[in-house]
Amino acid sequence: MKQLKLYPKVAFDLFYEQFKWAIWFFSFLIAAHIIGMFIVVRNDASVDPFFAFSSYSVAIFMLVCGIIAAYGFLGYYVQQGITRKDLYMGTVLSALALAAAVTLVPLAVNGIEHFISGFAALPIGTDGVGAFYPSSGWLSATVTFFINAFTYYLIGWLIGLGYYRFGWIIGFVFVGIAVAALSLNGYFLGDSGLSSIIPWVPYIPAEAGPALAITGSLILVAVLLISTRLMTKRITIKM
Amino acid sequence: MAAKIEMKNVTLKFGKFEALKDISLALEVGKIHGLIGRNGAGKTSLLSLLAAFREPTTGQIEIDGEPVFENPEKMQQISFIYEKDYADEYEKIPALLEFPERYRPNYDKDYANHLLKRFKLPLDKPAHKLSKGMQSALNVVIGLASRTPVTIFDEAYLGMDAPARQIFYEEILADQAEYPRTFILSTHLVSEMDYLFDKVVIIDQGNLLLNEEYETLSAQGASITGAADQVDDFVAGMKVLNEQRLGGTKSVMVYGTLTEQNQLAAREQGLEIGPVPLQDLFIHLTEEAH
Repeated sequence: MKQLKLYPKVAFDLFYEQFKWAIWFFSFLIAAHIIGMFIVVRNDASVDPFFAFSSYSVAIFMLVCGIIAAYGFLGYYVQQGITRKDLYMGTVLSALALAAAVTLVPLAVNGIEHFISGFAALPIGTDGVGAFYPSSGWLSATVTFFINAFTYYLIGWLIGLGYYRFGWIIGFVFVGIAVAALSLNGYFLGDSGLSSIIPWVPYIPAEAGPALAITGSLILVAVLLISTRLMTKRITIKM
Repeated sequence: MAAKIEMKNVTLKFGKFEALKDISLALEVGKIHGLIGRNGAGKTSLLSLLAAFREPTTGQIEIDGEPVFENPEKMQQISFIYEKDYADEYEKIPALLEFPERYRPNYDKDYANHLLKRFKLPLDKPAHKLSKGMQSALNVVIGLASRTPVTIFDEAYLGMDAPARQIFYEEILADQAEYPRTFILSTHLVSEMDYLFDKVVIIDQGNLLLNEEYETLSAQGASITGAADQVDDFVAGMKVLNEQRLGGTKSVMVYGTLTEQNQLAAREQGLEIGPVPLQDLFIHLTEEAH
């Protein structure tokens, strides 16, 4: 008999659910960006282009989605007879799709802003420097944004699983591991500004070279994928 | 559509505590099993193992000869319905039912709608605003309409009022007649539900006490009813489980099978012999084990 494969269905459903959250999230973020423009224009200042503007918030959004994934989906799906393996595969695929979506939406909004600024003056500064600014090249910025979003999701998922599986005291250890992972991620992706957003992420001034950045962050993603699989492989479902 | 379940030498430990002790148990295809046991006997632990919510410390759990844990075909055949926390559930019933509909191959939407009507469940209220009994009824709807070969209800009636429970029991029997499944109903309401059971499984302190046909079990005791002093004479020397008196009439439950001689003698004396309620046997058997 052909082995029953349910993970594509799970992946689709999980993506659909989380993309609905993403739509809410972006509505607020776009509103914030527009309000921001109104404020800065009075001071003769400028805001970041939307792509760069949204990078930190998107990362945090992905982190939160990952945390919720542990608590929100595990019991729900296993109760409906989905194996932990199918759920794991589904979660990873949906996170990839979600990371792609939360990268493309800001890119599109950014494009629209660019288009509008062609015939109307918008208070958007384009001279910022960093991984998510066009100054580092669009392709590089987009890939970095995507990997960053995906990594944040996995880190959030790891924290959630740590709490789910081991309770809140050992859960703190996972927060520690997550901080280490976030710092590494920031180091590899040359995102040294992270420490100003999340106070507990140590400041790493060094900007990693591109080879180190790609290898390093792929290794980090691999380690996260392996640890989340190991943690969910035989996990006891809470009732 | 029903499936055979087998537990082989299953032990479940939480640290040093043994929740289930070397349980070997076969559940019959297409029968309704009553799982009874006192508080903390290990009922829910046993059921969560069957549903692959956790793994046993040692031993095997198989459905139709294949291990259950992480087996996609087998896990899809099991529904485990228990009292769920809906406090954070803002979806309404139709949205919540889409989920089993997508993932349960035998899910029957018409039947689900029929059940929703019978339980009078409101479709326009978010689940967290439903009463406890309504949330239980919703669980029952999901469990019955999924029509999985193995359907487990772990005290699924909690919070339901008597008429709702009655609907639950009626629907189990009606649907079982048309689409036989292997049902496991764990319960404290033994006297209310015993007529549903084909088989009775009793566990006590993590041990399997018995797994028998309901008929065989109820023949392990008898109730003798008649004039008080005659009944007292008759049951002298027998193991008395329970007695009730109404005026000059007395009814005594005894444990043990009555011999043919006994039965004949009782009839001659004008005493009435009947079965013993499962509830009394259950109380007796679990007390004895302590």
